[in-house]
Amino acid sequence: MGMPRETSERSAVEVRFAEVFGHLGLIRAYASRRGAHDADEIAAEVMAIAWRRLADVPRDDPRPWLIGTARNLVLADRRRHRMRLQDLEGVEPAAPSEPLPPALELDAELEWALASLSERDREALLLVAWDDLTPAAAAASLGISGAAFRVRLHRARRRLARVLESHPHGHTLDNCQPSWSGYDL
Amino acid sequence: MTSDRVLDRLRAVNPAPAATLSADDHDLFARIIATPGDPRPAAAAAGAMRPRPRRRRIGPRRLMLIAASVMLVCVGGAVGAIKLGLISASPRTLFEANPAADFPGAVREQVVPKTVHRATTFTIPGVGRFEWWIALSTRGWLCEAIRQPDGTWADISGDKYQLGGPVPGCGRFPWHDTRGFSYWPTTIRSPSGQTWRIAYGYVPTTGNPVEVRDRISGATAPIGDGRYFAIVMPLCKRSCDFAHSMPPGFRLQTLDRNGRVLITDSFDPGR
Repeated sequence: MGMPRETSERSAVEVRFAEVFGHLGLIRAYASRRGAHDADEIAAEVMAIAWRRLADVPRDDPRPWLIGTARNLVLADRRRHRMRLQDLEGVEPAAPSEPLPPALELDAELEWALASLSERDREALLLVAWDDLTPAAAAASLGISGAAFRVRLHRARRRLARVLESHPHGHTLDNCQPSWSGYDL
Repeated sequence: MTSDRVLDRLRAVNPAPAATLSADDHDLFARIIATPGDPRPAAAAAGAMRPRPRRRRIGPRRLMLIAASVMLVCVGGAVGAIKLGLISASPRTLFEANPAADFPGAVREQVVPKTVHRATTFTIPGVGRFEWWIALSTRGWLCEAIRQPDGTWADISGDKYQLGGPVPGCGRFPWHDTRGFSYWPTTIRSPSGQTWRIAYGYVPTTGNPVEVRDRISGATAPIGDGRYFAIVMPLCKRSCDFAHSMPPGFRLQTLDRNGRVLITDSFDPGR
């Protein structure tokens, strides 16, 4: 602490960070899929945090740490967005609300089925299906044990399958509006 | 539909697959590494890069050197004993020895005696009360150390809590953000299995803050000397193997005596 950094040490740290930074596309996609208003900004902030806390980023697989950080940022983004809407409504009820994040283009049946799941179940499914994490990595990103995650994933798959079977084509977003925009975490 | 096919169906409709990096992303990389980074990997790299002494055959002419080496070992042992002796030393003695700066080029610090004092305390349920002591050195560095519930200093020898960070010793804080927050995060696990996150450092003095609050957990801590704080926040209730690699997940803000939010930390998610 307090020692000037030598160039070679700095280079080694930058090489290490470059490995972490290589996951920028994954984080940007994650933020986009979870309904972030500005996925680029979220991804950039995640990387800036990783740079400032590089020693905390696991060397073997930084993805769970990065996704966990991105999740916090997306949640904070949502909170800010909601507060802004509440402020607008409080001050000027007629004010037009800020547009919600663009809806992800899924088929309506699948979108409705996902919306019917709890946030926990949905996140477990999407971490594996869309973010391509192993159950162990997904568990790490959520801060739970691998065994707990596998149980959660198993139940989520079963519930989603049951929903899709029981309502094969009976619901669309037009007649059954889910109470979420994008994917809650 | 079987539950196995559910994942396949979801994978097939991934709405935003991960893309490769673009030229703009390389600019982003350059902008990020131009900012102050985490000092810990560089310090570790410095330790790893120390040259190993070359092994040499011992000849008759080196017998004198062997004798000198024996003397050096004795001196080294004395230094080690001194370091161990610091475990319950006075704060000033501890700061002047500057044990955390135990790397090449480190020098003993000259501490300004009247600045040695206890900045604040924090209590870990089931573990006890910790004291955060600070002082200024003559060249303006902040010296800091944490006294554990049993009266010993953290991170001296056989540390049971492994607080980590810059203690005990003198130096500059790793960074402070544009809003004036600067702190070290660390964790402690209590006997019950609960893991606690501790952040200790200083806050901007704008608006005369009296309290720091974590906006996520709601935990609060008083501010000592107008700017120093140590806040304890719950992290994991059960076994938490990722305690040191968890994302930040907290956001600090200063409050005035009326409970009004003054400034919010820009480091953490939620900026």
